[in-house]
Amino acid sequence: MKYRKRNFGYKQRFLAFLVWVVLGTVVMPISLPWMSFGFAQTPSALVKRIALRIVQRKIDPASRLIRVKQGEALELVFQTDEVVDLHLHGYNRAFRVKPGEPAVLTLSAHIAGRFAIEAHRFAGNPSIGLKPKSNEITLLYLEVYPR
Amino acid sequence: MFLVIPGFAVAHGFGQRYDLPLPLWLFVLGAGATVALSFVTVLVFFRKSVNQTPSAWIEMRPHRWVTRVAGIVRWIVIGFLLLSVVAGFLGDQNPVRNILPVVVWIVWWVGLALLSALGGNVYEFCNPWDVIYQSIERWHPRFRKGCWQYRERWGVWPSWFFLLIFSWMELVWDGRTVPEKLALAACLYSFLTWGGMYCFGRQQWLEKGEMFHVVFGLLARFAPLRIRVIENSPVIGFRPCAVGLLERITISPSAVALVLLLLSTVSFDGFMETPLWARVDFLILTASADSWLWTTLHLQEVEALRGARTLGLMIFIVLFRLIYALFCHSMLWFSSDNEVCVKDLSQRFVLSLIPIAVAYHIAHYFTFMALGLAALIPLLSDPLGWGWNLWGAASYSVDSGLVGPQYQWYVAVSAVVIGHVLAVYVAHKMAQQAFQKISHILRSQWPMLCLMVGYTMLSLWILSQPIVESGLSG
Repeated sequence: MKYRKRNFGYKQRFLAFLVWVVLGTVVMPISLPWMSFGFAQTPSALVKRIALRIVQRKIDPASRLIRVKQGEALELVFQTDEVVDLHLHGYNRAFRVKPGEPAVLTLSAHIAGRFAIEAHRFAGNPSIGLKPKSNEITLLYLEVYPR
Repeated sequence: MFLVIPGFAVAHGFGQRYDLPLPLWLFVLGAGATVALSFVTVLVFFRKSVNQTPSAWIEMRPHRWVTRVAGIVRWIVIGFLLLSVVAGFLGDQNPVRNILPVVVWIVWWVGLALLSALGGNVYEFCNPWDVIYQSIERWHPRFRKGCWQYRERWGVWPSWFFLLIFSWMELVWDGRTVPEKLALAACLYSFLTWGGMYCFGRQQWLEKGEMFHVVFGLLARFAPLRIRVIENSPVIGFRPCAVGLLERITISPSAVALVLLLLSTVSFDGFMETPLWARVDFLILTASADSWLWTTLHLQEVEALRGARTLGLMIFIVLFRLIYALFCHSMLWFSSDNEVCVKDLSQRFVLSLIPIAVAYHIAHYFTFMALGLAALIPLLSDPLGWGWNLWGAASYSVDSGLVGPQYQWYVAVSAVVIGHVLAVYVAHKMAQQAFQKISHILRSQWPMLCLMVGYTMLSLWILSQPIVESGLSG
């Protein structure tokens, strides 16, 4: 492999190298929190209330995607025909819903992203679904968009 | 009223990404920029003469203390990897509490790949198998020469085979989040690698059979940095990104297969999270009780899902090969050059697809890596999940909002577009090396442009699809 040295002195080359390192490794991580719009913004006073029914281990297709803007206050009211353990990813909230007792999940949507709400077990039974060995079922998605 | 079940929420969630799909306007902007910049690149770098001067390195030798520190860092890295494997065997088997899955999938596979692509051939210097075998060689001269001759026609097929197995493990295998199984796999690979080094000689096996060396080496050709060792002291060289891919070495047919395999597995990883693939999962999950899956094949539901994934991976691999072969034939046909053969073309041009793969890697995995590295902080305090607190960070919990969606979108689209432009530039330069006449060069670029635009569009499309959680756990 041919190479030829250019006419740079050692100091200039070292400076070029430092500039390269600074740009590459320092600017990126530093800019991350500055450009990260994932942190809390002024919460709004209005509370969005959404009712969800879990029937036969599924949610109606029309309500499988909830879209909110970052900072909104959300109340998800779950009703079910079977005992179920639910888990909201990202916000890391877990709760149990029992038939006849609507469960309310109050949430301030301060983290932006696409988060799954999964059912971990139905009726206390770790294997769910009609065939054995299913683990989790994703019931719906919560998408929080930045403002 | 609701009840929060403490500790339960920690039970799973390894490898989560919370990325929002690219908004339509950004997708269209990215696609438009891709196509427009492709033409601009070809026009700007079009030269009437085909004489090429090799691109110069700016080289410098660092201070002696840098070499010493690097030597120490090397052993620290290797020690860390060994401890992680030990943690895999002895520690808590919950993937969120054990350090090994994070080390293997995030630090090693994604992290080292990106480090190699952007920072050069660092892997050559901290390859644990290489370094340990070198120590063995120094201790006993018996190990310095291999037993048998490695035949040239075997090429890098061993690496290809290992990459295939590794990709399957990454995408389909249920043990990929089980620390003990990962540790076993690491031990098995170590045994095979050292065996190969003993049989064929350390350097030969490294260049042909040690999968990570071959893969990271290919990615390192894209980097603007290169470290060589001359007379026992390191020399660091700089030159523009992606120019290393133009170095005139012959790529064997097995290396072409390896590059295409790498591209197809990375793309399939993204494709598996799209709603389009979720339909396949859905078909299996809702198959009736007398479906042929259960009656004829006697499969469990999970096995059927895994089988579908394996089949999908195979189809992607074959599809990429066929499409690439098709485009190489088209290039030959368009250029109507009688002196070049398809095999030669396919070997020359395969490396020009690497910038797109690197760009997609960054776009797809950068939040995954950010969250994974943040998850590493509590794990470093408590690697085995035994309740230790070595640095006092064991209670640190990862903020899912670490990388904001807008930042992720802009980084993703910028990376994809820049990668595409670099790929087009490299392909154009390769065409100048392959063909003698200007008209042949220009005409042959049409199919290549189409292939690259198509591949970039696939990457953009995958990024714009909402992530659908798989039917498989972990």
